[in-house]
Amino acid sequence: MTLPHSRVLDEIVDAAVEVTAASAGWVLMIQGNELVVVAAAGGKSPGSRVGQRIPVSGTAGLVAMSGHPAAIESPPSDTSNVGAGGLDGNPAGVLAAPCGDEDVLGVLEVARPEGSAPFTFDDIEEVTLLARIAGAALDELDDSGAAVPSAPHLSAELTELAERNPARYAAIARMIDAVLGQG
Amino acid sequence: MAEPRRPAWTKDVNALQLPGVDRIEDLTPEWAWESADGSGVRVAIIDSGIDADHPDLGISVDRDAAVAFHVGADGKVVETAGPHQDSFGHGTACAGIIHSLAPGARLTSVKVLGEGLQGKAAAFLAGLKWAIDNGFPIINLSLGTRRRDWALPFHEACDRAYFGGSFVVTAANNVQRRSYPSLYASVTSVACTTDSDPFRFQWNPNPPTEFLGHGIDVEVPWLDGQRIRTTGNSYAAPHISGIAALVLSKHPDLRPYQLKTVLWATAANVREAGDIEAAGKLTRRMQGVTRQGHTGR
Repeated sequence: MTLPHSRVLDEIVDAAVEVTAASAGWVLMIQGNELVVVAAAGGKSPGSRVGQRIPVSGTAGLVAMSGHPAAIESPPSDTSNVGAGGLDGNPAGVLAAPCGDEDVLGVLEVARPEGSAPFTFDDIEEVTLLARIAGAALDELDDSGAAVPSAPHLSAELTELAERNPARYAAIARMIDAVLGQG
Repeated sequence: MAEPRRPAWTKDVNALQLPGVDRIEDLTPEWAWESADGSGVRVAIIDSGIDADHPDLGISVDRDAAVAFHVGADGKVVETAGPHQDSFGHGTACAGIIHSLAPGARLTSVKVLGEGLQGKAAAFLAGLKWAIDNGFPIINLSLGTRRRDWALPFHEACDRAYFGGSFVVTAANNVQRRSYPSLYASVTSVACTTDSDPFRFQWNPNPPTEFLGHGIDVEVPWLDGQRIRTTGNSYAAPHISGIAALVLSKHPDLRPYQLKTVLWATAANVREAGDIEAAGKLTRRMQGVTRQGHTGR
């Protein structure tokens, strides 16, 4: 099966990494009983991590299963997130949120290194909302595998993001609504 | 002499009063759970399994009562009785929180996560129904489903739990998104408070989330005998389950709506009346009513 690709997913991962001050992030798509990296940012050679297949385990697996976001700050002895998102080694903390509305289609996950500040509840909310846009993209794969959310779907998700952070998203949501109104 | 006719569904009952409670203000934490440790209360934890050997859990886990549900290749739900492992650590974390608050409560693992990504809602519903059928007075659900096609079956199950005397505690979604069954009045839906005291919870005047418990930066038992720190509504719900277990341990005859009322009355912001405007208003109104002696209505 062709892996989905899109700049939207890349931008979402970049935004999630930036807003949480994480060192790396990725979008995992559910394929059968596996998770596949379909977009990545940060860490060593993020491009090479795309396509890696990961078992349904660790924090990403929990989120894919439960549909609830989770932030885990684990001691070095906890190996449940070793290799998360195709990273080498064991992140000090990970935050993951489900992508998708009715069904969980994937997981948006970010990681932080030892010595950085733990993820906060605000971080969980931000990543959860960004994961919704990733879900909209994964929900509307075209025949070539391009993951691009429809304009109404994107507008709805951005409007919700704008309720939380108007400075960041309100103008974008209004612009898309204006475009839709002219159509 | 013929019995007088009664309207449908009615029958004579004796007047009942909670012992030691003449006024709503008498529902204090001391009345509710002082000297209780959860003994005599069974709690079902519907989750990813429980590591019964984790040192943080003592001997609280009834490992032989454990049961797991998954969806088989034929699409049917398969029930497997007996001990099992925790697939992710999440169920062990919830068990650890409840045990830390109510060390005398007996915990039973109902595993519905960890056996494949397909059919999760069906396994989840089967686990909930099993706990209801087996009469667990407290059922902790730190998970949910967003699928609308499962809304009605979960609604029916939760109503059955409510009328049958099972107090179902659910984690609300971490953002304001629907998650079944946390939206229903028959359950007690919980989100996080910023307070770090595990016994200090708040009533939320804006349902469907009705209570706020400790769920930020919580130290919990995890896989392989370890502990981690974690954040989320998943960990707020078992704080309310643990306190509910204490209350039921001391007052075992409380119905779910009475238990919810006790939690409301003992919530920090209601007791301190003023942190949240609506809570203060309601508390003042209740005080006015009770002063006039209308406690029975």
